[in-house]
Amino acid sequence: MLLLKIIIVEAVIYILFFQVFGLARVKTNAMLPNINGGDLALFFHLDDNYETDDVATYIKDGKRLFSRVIAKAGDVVSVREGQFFVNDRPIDSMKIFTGEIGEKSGIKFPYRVGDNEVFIVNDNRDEPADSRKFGSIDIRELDGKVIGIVRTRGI
Amino acid sequence: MAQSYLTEAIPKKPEPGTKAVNIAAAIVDRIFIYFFALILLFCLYAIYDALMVYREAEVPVEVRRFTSKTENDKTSEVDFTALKNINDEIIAWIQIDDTDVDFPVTYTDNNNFYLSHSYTKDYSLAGSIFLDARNAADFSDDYSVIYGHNMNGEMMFGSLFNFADTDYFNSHQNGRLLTPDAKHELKVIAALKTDRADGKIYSIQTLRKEHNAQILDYLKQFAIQTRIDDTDYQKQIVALSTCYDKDGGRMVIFATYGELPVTEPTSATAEAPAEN
Repeated sequence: MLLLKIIIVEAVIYILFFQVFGLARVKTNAMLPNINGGDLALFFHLDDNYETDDVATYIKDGKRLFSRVIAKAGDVVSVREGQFFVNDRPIDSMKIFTGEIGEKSGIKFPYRVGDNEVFIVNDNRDEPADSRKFGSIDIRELDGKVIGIVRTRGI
Repeated sequence: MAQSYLTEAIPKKPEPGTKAVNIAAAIVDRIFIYFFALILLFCLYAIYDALMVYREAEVPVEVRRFTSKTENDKTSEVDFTALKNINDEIIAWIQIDDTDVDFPVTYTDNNNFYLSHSYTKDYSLAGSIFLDARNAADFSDDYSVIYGHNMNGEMMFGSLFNFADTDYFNSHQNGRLLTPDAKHELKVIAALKTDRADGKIYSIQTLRKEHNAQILDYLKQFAIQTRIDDTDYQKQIVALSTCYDKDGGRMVIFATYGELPVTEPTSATAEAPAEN
């Protein structure tokens, strides 16, 4: 009975924390001021329906990164006067840390987001390793949606 | 005493009507267990996070293996060709004998990047040891400033504080500064407590040329430890700077090396780092 119980508990923990939810320590300041380096991020793997303003996690070059969705499939992203415009509307800039967005881009604007893709950028715009560098990203490459942050330092 | 307390605490036979009380007690127990388990997990994460910060502060093995040491722990050779394959902004290696100061020195076009990036250019809260962007990368200036975070456990430049102590200052006089082109012997000449607005120390535009005598006179007057003789007036100076509080306080160690060069002044625009 005990063995069975241990197996069931382990199975539940495995499914919950590796298949349904995920936990990871954030290693960069790319999402300042909303996520600090050192925060513990909790994310949900199963929801592939990414909306604007969702924070997605993904693996690039073996590193887990976090960025915010600013545009979805079919949207056109452009840069004017140092800020992002999506479908000719300026995006909500309340959550942005610093400016200087267009100069570090590796892609050409206006940029059309392809099917099943999203355009993700870092809240800390000075960290250009996001869609400005590699273009929009396939939703299947995203690993999950951030649903919680645990902060123990730099509060 | 304890035994009698225990036997009293455990009822021999549950009486009818106490069932609801027992269930309530069990629920309260559960709540406490989950509550404390949560706090425990939270604390464990905080510890893990702190460990990660300190692991990032260490000079990684892939960087350190390209150096060789003599028997008395002096870094004698640095394979800069190999280091530049890891990070082409590693421009020197600095060591002060018998201290934890034994680091590669990085250099880039601003004074912010290496506050938060490691020698491998990965994000790191502990940052790197780096040369001021306004200085020449080959340490040919009269006066150069190197910055590093003050970390607990004497990591990065955390050990500079020991130089405030007279015995420590007297017993740690020598070091070396290795660049791809030269091996400089360092002589530690002073330890100074100041703040980040100290123009004598951080205004490199004016200090990098022909002002070393002013710095030395200033140190003689204000430094908490000094060991300055006349020959130091003919030498180049390197300052190792770290902070000692969150209000801009700075601990700076000065060392001399080489001979004063004859070079033309160049203009520079970067700002001194706001914190380190």
